[in-house]
Amino acid sequence: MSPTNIFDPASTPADSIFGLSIFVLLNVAAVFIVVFALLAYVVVRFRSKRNDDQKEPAQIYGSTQVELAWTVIPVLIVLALFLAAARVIASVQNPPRPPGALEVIVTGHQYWWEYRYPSLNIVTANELHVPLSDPAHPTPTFLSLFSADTNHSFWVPRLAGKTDLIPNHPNQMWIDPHEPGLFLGQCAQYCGTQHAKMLLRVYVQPRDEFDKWVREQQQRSPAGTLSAGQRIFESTACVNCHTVSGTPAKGHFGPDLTHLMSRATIAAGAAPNTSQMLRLWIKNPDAIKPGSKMPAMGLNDQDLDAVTAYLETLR
Amino acid sequence: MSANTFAISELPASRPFTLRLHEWVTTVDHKRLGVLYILFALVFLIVGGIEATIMRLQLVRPHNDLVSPEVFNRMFTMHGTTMIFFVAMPLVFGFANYLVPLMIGARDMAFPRLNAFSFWMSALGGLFLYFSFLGGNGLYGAGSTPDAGWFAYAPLTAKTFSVVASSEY
Repeated sequence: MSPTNIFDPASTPADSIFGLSIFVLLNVAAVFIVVFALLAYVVVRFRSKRNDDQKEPAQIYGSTQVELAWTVIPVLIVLALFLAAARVIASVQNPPRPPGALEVIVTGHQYWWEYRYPSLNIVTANELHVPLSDPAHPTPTFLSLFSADTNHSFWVPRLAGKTDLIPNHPNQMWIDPHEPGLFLGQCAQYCGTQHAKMLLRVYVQPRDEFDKWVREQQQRSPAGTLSAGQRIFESTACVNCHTVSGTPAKGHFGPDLTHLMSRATIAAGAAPNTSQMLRLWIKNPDAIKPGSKMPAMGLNDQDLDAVTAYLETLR
Repeated sequence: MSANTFAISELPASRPFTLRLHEWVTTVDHKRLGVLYILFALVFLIVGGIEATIMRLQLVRPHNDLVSPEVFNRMFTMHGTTMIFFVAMPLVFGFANYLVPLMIGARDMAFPRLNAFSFWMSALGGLFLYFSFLGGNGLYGAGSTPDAGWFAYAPLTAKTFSVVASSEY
């Protein structure tokens, strides 16, 4: 089963959209079957016969009954579809906000995702962690969507319908995942060269696991002696784009690296977060994600190893 | 023959190719323009089809590297623009040009010269769009074919994010 299967919803908005699509499908299937059954009947019943008398058949002009039927029935079908769609749209757009709801600010960048948890004081990138929501005591997550550059679209098919991230036009969406696990998605609005590798990963965790993750993310990096790699990191262009909290690195153009090693992937899900891939990513980002905004850092092998080793301490 | 029929000078049955070509190029006849529109659409159907084939070949297997991301983006942008503006619309225009005057009993379209001019503007528009593969200095070398998607949403099409001619072609 595909991890992005739209027919396997795991959250209320996706579930209500799935229900609506099945309702619409049943309606149009019924229309299709009735129309084609009538068509087949007419084609067979009134086909030309060998001993046809060549006379014109009876000509009937006007029938109030038939005309009423073919006007009223389609109007009723359209009305039913309209009401069903309106109900689903209203329920997805105006959800109740229980006290346990979590707020996350999502910012789309070319070509990665930034997540800020204002109430928890967490900044992370590309891998969204949300708590599991028990239908009896829902703890939904509300996402405020912003864009730093071009249009993007947040689409994790099993959790909710897609919602665009538009510059200077905040959008809202919400999810309340009913099952734990990793949910995959994809930027769904063409946003530039590497739109294809702007991947979404949503980790749904039971409350205790989520709280553990929150505590880890809130930890400040321990102030110790500067390693060789950290010195290189802080004296090159790395700090212009990346933030490592508690250090002079305060850039905002690229992902926050404070807890880099807590993430399973780098480059917005394009590669696994292994020291080999990390080294390649610093050396030559185009080898992993051609067209990404990360520049090749032009470090020598020794410095590359040192910076990679430093990044691997960012837990 | 009734009195108000025009006397048309007999054309020789076989004329040199250049003469026939000249007739087609300078024609203002709605039927011939209709045929030209449809031929034009069919040529671009092949071009757009080649672009679609390149996209599907790229997508045959995951992590394929048949074409670069830049080329793929150009392919779907040009495919969309081509199929709508240089295939679907000219086909409709072609059939309408050919058939509507016959259906309503008119001798030709109103403003036949404008009609011919419109066709040649469409044809030149198509050629000019495809000149973008060669002309202009692009972000990735020669050529600056549109690559911002055929819907061309701002701000991706704005100067900040498309620094070369791209969708301005």
